[in-house]
Amino acid sequence: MSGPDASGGTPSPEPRRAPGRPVRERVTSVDRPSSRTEALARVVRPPVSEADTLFTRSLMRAQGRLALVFVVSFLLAVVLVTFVISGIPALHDHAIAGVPIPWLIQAYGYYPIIIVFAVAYTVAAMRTERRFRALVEHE
Amino acid sequence: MNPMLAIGAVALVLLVTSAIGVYGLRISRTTSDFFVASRTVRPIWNASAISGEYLSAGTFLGLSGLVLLSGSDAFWFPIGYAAGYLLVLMFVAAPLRRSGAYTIPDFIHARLDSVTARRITSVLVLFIGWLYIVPQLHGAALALNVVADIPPWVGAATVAVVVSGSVAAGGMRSITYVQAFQFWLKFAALAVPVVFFLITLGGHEPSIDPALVFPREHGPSGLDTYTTASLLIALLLGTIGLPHVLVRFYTSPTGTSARWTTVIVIVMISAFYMVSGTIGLVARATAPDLAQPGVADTVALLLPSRLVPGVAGDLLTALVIAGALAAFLGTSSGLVVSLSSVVSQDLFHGTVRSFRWAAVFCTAVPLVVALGTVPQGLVTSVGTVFVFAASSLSPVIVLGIWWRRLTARGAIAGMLVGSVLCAGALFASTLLGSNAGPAAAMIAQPGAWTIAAATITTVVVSLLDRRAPLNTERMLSRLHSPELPRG
Repeated sequence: MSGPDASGGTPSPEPRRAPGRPVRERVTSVDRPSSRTEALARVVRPPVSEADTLFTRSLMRAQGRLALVFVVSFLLAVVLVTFVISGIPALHDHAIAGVPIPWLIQAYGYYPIIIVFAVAYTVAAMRTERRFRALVEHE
Repeated sequence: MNPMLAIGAVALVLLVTSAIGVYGLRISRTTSDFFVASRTVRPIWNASAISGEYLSAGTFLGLSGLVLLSGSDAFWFPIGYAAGYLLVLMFVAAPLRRSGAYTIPDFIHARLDSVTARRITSVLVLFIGWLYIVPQLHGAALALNVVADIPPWVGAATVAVVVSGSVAAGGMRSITYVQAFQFWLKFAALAVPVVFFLITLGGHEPSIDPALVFPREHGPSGLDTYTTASLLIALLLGTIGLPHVLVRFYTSPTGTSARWTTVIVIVMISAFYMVSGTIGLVARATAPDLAQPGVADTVALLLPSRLVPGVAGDLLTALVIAGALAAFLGTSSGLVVSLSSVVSQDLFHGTVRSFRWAAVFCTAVPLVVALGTVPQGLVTSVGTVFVFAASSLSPVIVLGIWWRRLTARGAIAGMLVGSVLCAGALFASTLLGSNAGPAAAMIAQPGAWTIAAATITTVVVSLLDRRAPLNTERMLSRLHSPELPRG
């Protein structure tokens, strides 16, 4: 090894880590608890307490509801746009740079909807998790 | 067109890919480097890598080809691919990252505590991965044949050799950087020509007749409700079941960063699809003579020399072929990484050595298939993979994350029913063609009912079985609990 460790000081644990880059992690698969895994830290597994179960259930329900609301409203938006471009023949008579409007909407119009939903969902999901974490820490 | 320039571009991409791979070999020191890049990848690079691996021959060449061939129906494919990531984000990204599992079979095994369920998942993952690699190799054969007159088998074999070599050498860590590079190459390779096309075409008065180039019946108003809905559902859910998509989340350090990575991916692939779709629209206006099956998929490669005269056109062609090659390499190497992980963990003990041999094996099989079959439309072949993944794996993965009463038997039954029905329908559709009568659309686009059948089977069998694994609560709590801030 010709690592740049000639500084003479105590060797730092992460000599090659650039600032801002996540710490190197060691992983193995979850199904072999006997090997040196992330699960090893949890080898002494306390039984899942009633409170924990309740916590998980309500968090799951909240997140699941959030995801469903977003998926359903996303699908409604897609159906609506699709209806507009396929069901209104008059739109086809208008064109920009020679391309009829319905074609343009189908080629470019759906992606902004997808992006808006993605950002909104991520922010909402983070807020739910923060709220639940605060709840746990208060107890 | 100048074949030397094209061959030069191909050689350059191969050189840079192997150079980054060799660099990765130097820094890939541990098994964790191999399998998850030791989770040291920043979201922006991780997102570039995910996009680099996701954008395949299907959308690089196939999308513009299908727009030219069949009209605006083709746009459903990229819309479905992009929206598929939205579903990944909402239903699986963070929980799967927190599961700590590395491959889909790992996850199923950990969640359901069943080796049988794991084995069936592994077989399905391998099958899906191979189905997906074949069109990439077909694309390589087609593209190199068109621009440089290279025999088709040489193109397919070259890509296969480079992919298995670079994966075997550097594992996930080097592949991450290779794929990040490939995303930006692919994007530039279509975006730069599009700018040139628009400048060239913008100079002239548009002499096209919209009614002829963009006819009403090939536009959005001609869509068939069942076919469109079924295809979209399958594409939306299919992304969740793709082997190489899930693996990528394990390289994110936390569930939250996995979510933001997914958002960046959606932005990146959307930008790419818009550019690729533009080439399709330009092709309809300027190259209607190429609208024949088998030829249409090469339109992205042929347009530059037609529209931009002289050396500039040749250089643009070289850029496009470089990007196309990046598309074949990026997707195939991502798939080979995940397939090799599955094979090496299921058959061996997940060692680096077995991973390397698995990489060679996992590329050889689809290469043989690709050499023995005739390429169909690239974007539809890739779409078929999504339909199959959505019918076989996606329902079980989603239920595994969100439904506590799922049992191993339920999952096994659902996977078998979904994959058998879907494979059967697609086979029947290929054999019968348009002779299938009123059911033709149902078997050509089976997603709507095969996904439903798989989901219902999983739920009903689980409810009858009632033997939910003992670790269900602990597993679900692990999947859904947010990480505590590190400190």
